[in-house]
Amino acid sequence: MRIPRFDLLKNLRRWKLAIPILLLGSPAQAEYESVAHAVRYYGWEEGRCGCFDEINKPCTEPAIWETYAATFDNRMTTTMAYEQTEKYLNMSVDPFDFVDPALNVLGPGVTYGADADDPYGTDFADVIFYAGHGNHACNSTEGWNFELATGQQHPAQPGQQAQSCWLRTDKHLRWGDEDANVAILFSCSSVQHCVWDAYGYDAMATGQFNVLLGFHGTMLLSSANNTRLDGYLAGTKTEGIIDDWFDEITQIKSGADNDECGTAIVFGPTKAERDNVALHAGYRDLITTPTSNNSSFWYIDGCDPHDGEAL
Amino acid sequence: MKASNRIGSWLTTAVVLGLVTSIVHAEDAEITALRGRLDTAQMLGKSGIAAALKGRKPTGTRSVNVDALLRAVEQGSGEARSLAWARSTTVDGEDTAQATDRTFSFDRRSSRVMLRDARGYAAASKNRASDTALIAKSRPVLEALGATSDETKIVIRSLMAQDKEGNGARAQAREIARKVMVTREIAGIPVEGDGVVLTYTADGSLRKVSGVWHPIDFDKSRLSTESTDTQVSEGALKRIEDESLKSRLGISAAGKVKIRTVFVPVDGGDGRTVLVPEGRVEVPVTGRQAPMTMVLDFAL
Repeated sequence: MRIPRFDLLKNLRRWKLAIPILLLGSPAQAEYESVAHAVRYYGWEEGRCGCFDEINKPCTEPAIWETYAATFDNRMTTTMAYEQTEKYLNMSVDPFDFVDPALNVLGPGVTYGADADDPYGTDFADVIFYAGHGNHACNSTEGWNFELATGQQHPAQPGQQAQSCWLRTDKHLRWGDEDANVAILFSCSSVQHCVWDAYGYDAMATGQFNVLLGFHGTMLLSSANNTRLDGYLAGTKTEGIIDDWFDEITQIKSGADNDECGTAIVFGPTKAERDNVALHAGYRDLITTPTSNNSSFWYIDGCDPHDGEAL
Repeated sequence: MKASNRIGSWLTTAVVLGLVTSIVHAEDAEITALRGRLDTAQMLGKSGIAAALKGRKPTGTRSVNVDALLRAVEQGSGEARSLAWARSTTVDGEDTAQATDRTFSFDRRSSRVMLRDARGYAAASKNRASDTALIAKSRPVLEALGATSDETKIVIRSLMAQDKEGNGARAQAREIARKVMVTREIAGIPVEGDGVVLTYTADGSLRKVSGVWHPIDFDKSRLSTESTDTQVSEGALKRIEDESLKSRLGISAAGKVKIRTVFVPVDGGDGRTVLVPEGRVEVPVTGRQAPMTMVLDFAL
């Protein structure tokens, strides 16, 4: 299997980090970790994720994706005082860091993915943040899922020519079996009602993963949304992890089909346990629940976005 | 410089200029095509802002009154008597107060308010409060924050949760709480970034106040612009053109390009917060498979 050059470099960096750890013995586990991934650049260079559908047209590269990740990373470092905070941009956001190896996404016998890898992956951290392109499907052809776009292609599946950058909630992601509690997917339709309704998020929530925050329908790429993200994180150190998402993120506007709808899913065995997480957990005071495909979808009544039904 | 070198440098300059010109021309064609797609319903230039503010121009300074705010919170949550609030002010200018079940803070640097009540949202009762009752309870809290009724736009919505156990079907949604969502407008022009949400139990007991409301010095604010409507439109197009060179915008062939005028709170010096007008333009752009909308900021 072809291994992209960038992966080799990253593997070298991994080993470099491992040497002092081996010398010093096992370091104490950091109490709280966060990781931010954001992709601004798509296209052109070898290995990047291009605009396959618009090959000869410019592919928009909004700098604001990186700003969102910086805002998250800054709040986790300062307000939340997390012991370890990591941030990766663009080509450093590769599918290897998101895919759970146990899922055998490249077929049996081919090991691919290291989502639990500390510090490059996702599932090693208590809180995962992603900003970039998001897309959802709710039909019998494509299935019922949300997919996010990484900044680097993952290898084609054996026997297939196509390469892909899209990672799906029902196929590639499995968080919580290592350490993840919470994921903020700051992208369009990341917490879409029709996907939840058809069990499209159930496979990704294992172990202690119990809070998924995002949008139902379109999210505008605006500086105002950066201010809102910052405001949300400013106030949720000790509680309000889900309740406050609606105060800051949801925007009910005049006219139809144009609201911005913050939405959330809580996983947990019982309604009472899920409500407890939703209303009382904070980023410095996370509440874990055991593995469960029982879940609650939280929303603001009547919120009506572009690219999604009115809630 | 030798003559041959000089000719070489002229040639290089000419080639570079030619390249720049052709890039600019390519951008121009795309920008020109956008002119026909401008939606200016929410755009106000010099005369529009002046007309909106006529007879409604705010003056003086709005400011927060923490004492009145705490009293209003007590009333909003149905307390018959005053609570014993333990008050303090940090060196950073954050007012905090604590009473039975309640924690309150107002950060004077960011104008961020947060009041939480640990009693949570009780299950829905038969005595569901009317929207009018919720607004009546919210008004004193808003007034204490400096949010006068002429500047508040209010929407009341319910926070809902829908449950699904395993592979079962989703249950009927349940109402968790009610949210009085308040945004700020000056004569109908939105103040971007200012907004407060008051969260109530279903039967109308106040449990949370969160958001930002800047104490604006209106006398020092610039509530006007010299830009005409045409200049605002051109400013928006110029902003798209600039962003296009920076972020290689793939502008979608369909959809409106909406231009809005907003007021933005900025630091006016001497500890004052003032408003200035700014433009916002929404551009539909090609994403990967899914379309996106970018909002670009520009000065007025």
